[in-house]
Amino acid sequence: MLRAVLPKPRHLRLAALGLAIGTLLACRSDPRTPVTVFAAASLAESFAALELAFEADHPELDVVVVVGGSQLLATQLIEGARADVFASANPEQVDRVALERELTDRQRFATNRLVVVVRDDGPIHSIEQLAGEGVRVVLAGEAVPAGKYARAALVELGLHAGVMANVVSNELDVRGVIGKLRAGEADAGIAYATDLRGSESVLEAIELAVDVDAHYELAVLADAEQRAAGQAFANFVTSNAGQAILHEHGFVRDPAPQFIYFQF
Amino acid sequence: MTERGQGVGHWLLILLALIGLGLFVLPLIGLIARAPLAELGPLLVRDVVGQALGLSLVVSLAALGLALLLGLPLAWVLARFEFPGRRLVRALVTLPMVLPPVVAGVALLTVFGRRGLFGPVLSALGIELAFTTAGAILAATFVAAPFLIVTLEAAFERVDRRLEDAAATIGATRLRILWTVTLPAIRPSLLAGLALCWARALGEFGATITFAGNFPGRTQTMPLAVYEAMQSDPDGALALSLVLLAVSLALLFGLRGQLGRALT
Repeated sequence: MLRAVLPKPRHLRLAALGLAIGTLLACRSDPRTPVTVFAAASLAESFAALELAFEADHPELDVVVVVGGSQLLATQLIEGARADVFASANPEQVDRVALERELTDRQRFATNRLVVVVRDDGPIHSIEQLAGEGVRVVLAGEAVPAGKYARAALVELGLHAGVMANVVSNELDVRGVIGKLRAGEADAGIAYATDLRGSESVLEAIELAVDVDAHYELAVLADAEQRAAGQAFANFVTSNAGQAILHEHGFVRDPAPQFIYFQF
Repeated sequence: MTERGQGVGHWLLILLALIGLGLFVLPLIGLIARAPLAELGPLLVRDVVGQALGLSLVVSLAALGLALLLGLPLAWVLARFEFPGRRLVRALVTLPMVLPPVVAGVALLTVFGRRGLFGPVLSALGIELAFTTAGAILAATFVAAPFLIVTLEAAFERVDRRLEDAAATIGATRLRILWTVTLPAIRPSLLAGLALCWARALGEFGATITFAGNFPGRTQTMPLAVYEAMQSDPDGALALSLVLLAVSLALLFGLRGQLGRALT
């Protein structure tokens, strides 16, 4: 019985060859110094563009952007993840990290607007309809920045109770909201204005007239391996060139980069 | 090398075995060591825990029932009938075992989603799968049933056909033979297959969150609750993980011996 299960020696040799090639590929050395940037899910495209522009100026550096829900990235940093820069979709998540790890160069670098996202072939055309019977609404979870902003916006609009009753899924980051809408499983969701840019054909945004704006903050980890390079990247994000790229991707231009001083 | 031969390879194998043991056991010890045991009480009585645990039991047991209802006949047909394309069917049935669960979720959307192949038919019948407990059950069944089918098929192949033939000569119907001769003969395999299937259904994450979304009490099973809690409330995640660990240990304990007997 057992013999039939064991691979033939020839197969074993092939497997060993595959393993060797895999190892070699994994060890292929890149002479550039890696700079790890943890960025909120909504920054995926804009930070990819920032990475390209920054690397053009700094050929010796290799920016690696890791995107995810800000709350998840913050937890990973609290658990000791190695990163040089943290760019969060809200200040709270930077606060959480700041309790456990020393941060420097903390500053606000972008502002984003919230929109209701609907399918252009769907039944929803106004914000009030979100509370209608049988409407399937997808939000980001309560701990996710986009989910917090969305709930605050609904409170301001007086639609909180009605819309919350229609929520069918709490996504783990704002891109999960877009994914469920793109798949056509939900009728509406709340996301950032920047999430709908690019080659979007089936989704459209309804503007939300609320005072709730998303404020993005970044900080450099004080114990980062590439602290200087991390600071250089952070400075690039807040520089005119960096701000222009963020603006191109739909972020609202802040009057002036604001430095946030720690109060102890 | 002879049977008694030792040499370097002997120690290398023992060393690798010890590293392997550490790799599998240490995370479990870590889970218990890091768990906030003092606050475990308050953490465990929160609604989300009861809801998620109850839902996990409902979803995994329903998936187990469905897997048995559809998988047992399928395994029997595969083992008892020779037909063109049998190998292909067998490969297709085992595919969900190796398919990344998120891909399984996407695949389910293409068929059972609102815009999927059967979407219009299902909604005409008033059946909603996306974002419902039924959807979570379907996702769990899809990824877990192959474990039962594969185990049962191998067991059916090993049954002494003379017993079935003898039953047939005294006039027993196929169903009666299956029920009174075949199934009792493969009892250990049946139990092992059920246990594997249930364990897989209980741990299901990727297909569920992709296909059925994440909503407490409806589709948020234990693994989803653990992952969501981990993002912002690591202590809560540890407490939830301990509950799942206890359930898994109880499962193993209840089946001690059965698994080993059936798989050899």
